[in-house]
Amino acid sequence: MNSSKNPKRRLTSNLLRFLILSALGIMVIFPFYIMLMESLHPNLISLPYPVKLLPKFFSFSNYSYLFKSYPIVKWIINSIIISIGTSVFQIITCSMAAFGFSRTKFMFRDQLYWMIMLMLVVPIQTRILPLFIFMSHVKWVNTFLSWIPFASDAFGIFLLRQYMESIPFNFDEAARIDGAGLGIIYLKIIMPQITPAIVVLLTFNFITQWNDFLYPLIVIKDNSMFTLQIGLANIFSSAMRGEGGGMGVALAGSVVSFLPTLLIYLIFQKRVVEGMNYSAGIKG
Amino acid sequence: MRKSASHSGSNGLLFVLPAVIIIGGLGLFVTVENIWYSLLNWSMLSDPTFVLFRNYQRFFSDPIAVRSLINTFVYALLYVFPTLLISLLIAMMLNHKSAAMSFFRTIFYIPVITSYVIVIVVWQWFFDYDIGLFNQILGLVGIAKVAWLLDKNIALPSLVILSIWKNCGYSIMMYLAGLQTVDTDLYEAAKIDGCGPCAMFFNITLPQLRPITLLSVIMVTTWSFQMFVQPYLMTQGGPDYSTSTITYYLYNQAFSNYNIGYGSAISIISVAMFLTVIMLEKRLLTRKEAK
Repeated sequence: MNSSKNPKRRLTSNLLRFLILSALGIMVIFPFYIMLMESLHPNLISLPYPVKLLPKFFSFSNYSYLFKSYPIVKWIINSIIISIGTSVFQIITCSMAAFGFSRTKFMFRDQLYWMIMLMLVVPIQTRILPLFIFMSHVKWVNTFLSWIPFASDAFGIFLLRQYMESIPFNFDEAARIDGAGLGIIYLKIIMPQITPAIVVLLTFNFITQWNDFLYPLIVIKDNSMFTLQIGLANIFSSAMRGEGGGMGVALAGSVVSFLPTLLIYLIFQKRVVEGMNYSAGIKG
Repeated sequence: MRKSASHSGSNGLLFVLPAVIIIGGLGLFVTVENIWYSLLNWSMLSDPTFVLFRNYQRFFSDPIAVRSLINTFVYALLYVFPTLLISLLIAMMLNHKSAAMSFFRTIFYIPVITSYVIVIVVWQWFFDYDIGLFNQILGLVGIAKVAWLLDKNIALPSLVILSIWKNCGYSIMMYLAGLQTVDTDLYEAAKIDGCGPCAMFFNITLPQLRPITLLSVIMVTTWSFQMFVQPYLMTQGGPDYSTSTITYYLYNQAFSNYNIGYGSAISIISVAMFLTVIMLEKRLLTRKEAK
């Protein structure tokens, strides 16, 4: 536009843009910086006053306290089992269902599909109470079985079905002429072509489950069955009361719980954002 | 064409069966069950009795319940406009292809993938009255301390600030995706007609981004109706119920007081309100488009 005519003006506007974005970027990063720096601050009862940008001593004492005094390894394992477990089950059940809905014909197929899609508009609040009662009834409370409701997901089916629809039908037609059954077509023809969508579903669900708070809070009562988020919230609440090793330990726990999601985000950035945008797109 | 390529027979049903059982049973059925529970007087300790709509009547005569619902609306309202404005501005600044810009994109999204618990551990200190970062900064500029989470008029807006910081990246990314699809030919045409950059923004860019704006508004609404961790960990709904939101109140009634029937009614009302608001938003933002 105007600025492109005048190189000098363009340079200043670019520089200004860069400075504004840098300032905003610092505002976004700052809490994470504080989290990391202060987690290395030994014997930190509460966060610093006045604020210092570099702690005086570096030590891993908060981390060793964290691993010694809390079953954090168990919590990490629990969170991994739940996040990976639900993801694996979702990939299996959702890809199968997506295949069934897009590639086969049977009675009430479309009615079933729309019934499942109804769940997209129903938020989790309508389900936590009856799910809790159900889980107590069948004695699945305090076990990983409580996550069976998340072993399949309407969002995943919708996402994978959209991808499958873009695969030309002559692919499976050709395989069928060669005598391939439905199972072979699903495994050998369709699945390899929807890998990007599977990564989208995997990263989206992993991050959602890893960060989830309300559901594990309701179905888990036992300290040893906590997820990392619930355990961390407990450490934080003790630190607020001035107990349990202080705020430094809560920050160390935050760092530990933050790293997996950060790593997944940095590796699969495009797919993570795609999944998030998709989940919004569906609601519109 | 497609019909001939589809495989008929009942084998297809086997493929959808696992998902149908899980989503049908633990999703749909359970939701219907929830409606049934909302018609019962059931407190876990006593046997359930059928009371029809008494739980719903109780909700609207329960000042804390109504307060929590209003808080949710206020929160969503305070949340949505700054989010749209800030994220659109940042998205427009980021809408250039360069290494620096993709670096900033990566940065701005990090809070979105971070759990609320982690964010709260640090932000609780930001908001602290005596030793908090915000009051330290205000002190440097010579402004009196603010009771961020302790003042009943400021606590809810404080939580909104936290949410904007955390979730702006989401709308930024959506606007960035939307800006890629804006028809650039229109800019050329407008330039020939003598339009300034401001007129171009309001007449070309903004209308074309309306679908994205709608999605952002819907997401903010969704987050507002699900907001739970902040009141649970930071304020316990206080001071004076000023940060009690509908999901927080639902949790308290159902899982602290074990009022199953009443809790179910709260969740049904919450979802009914949520869906109504979303429908209104859709109508509001798509009608303009037709103009």
